[in-house]
Amino acid sequence: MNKIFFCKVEEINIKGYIIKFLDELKDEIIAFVDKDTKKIKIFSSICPHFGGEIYYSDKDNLLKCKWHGWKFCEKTGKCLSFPIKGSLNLYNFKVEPNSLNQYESIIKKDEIYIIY
Amino acid sequence: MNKDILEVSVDKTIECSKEVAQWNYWDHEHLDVIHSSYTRSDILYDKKNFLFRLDLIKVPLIPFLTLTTPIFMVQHNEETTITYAIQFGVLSKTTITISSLEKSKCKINMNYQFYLNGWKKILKPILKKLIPIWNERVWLEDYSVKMRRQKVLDMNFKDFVGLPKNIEDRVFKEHKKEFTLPIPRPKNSTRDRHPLKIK
Repeated sequence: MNKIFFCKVEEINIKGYIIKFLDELKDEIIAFVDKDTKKIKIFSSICPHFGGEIYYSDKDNLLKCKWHGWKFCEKTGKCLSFPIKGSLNLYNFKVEPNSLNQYESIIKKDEIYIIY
Repeated sequence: MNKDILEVSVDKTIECSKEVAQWNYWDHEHLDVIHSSYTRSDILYDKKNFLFRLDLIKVPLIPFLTLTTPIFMVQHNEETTITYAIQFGVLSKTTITISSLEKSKCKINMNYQFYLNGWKKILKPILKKLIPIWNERVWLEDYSVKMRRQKVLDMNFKDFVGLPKNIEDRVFKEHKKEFTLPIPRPKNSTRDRHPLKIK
């Protein structure tokens, strides 16, 4: 199993989400804090429809595509707009040095590593 | 050139394939999401190389007013897309010619012709000024879409599926992404909900 640094927890706070392309994964990744559960979630931010950019809508507590407005479940990555085969790839991650996956002020300086 | 015709031509190059640029012109589902001037777009009929569409477009300079615009679009040949539209009774013809320069680079010529006969002549100076501004805005709104589309295709992206599951497979494979019409839409797409749409 490999792990790769993604971001500091506090970086999510700037826009409510953070998007980065990781060469090692050859994927663009989004990290955000689910408004309901306060848990950090990490998905691929490439829309399975045509490849548009996915962002987290804090207002709707959903993931949305910037190109066609398609909606995706913030917990599973499943497409909510149309029954398509593809979904957003969910990534496992680790917060270090604390092992909490919940967003709390105590872990703001902590770092998020994606496990793959 | 007929003196009743106002013609404006714009040339651009972009680092994406000809097929990606063509896809962008024929992907109708992005119109009211990406482009600030569109509020709605309904496809009434589309076949292999043509379509008839009704767009609700914001009136330039008076954005709280919208205008229903009938659009006829045809892929005239491998390089040329022609669009006829009528706005305020003015017939326009837009000819988009896309030529491949390299594998991931193409040149796009956008030629606009407006038929301004009779009283419509008075619109000439304002249209002459507005078209390049409108063209630049639409170009910028679509620019990142085309660039990103090329990037994901180069990672072996499949439409409606996404990237390959294995990271090792997310690499460019020397195959040409075919451009075929119509661009697939899901059942009950937002473009296919007009009551007069031919199913």
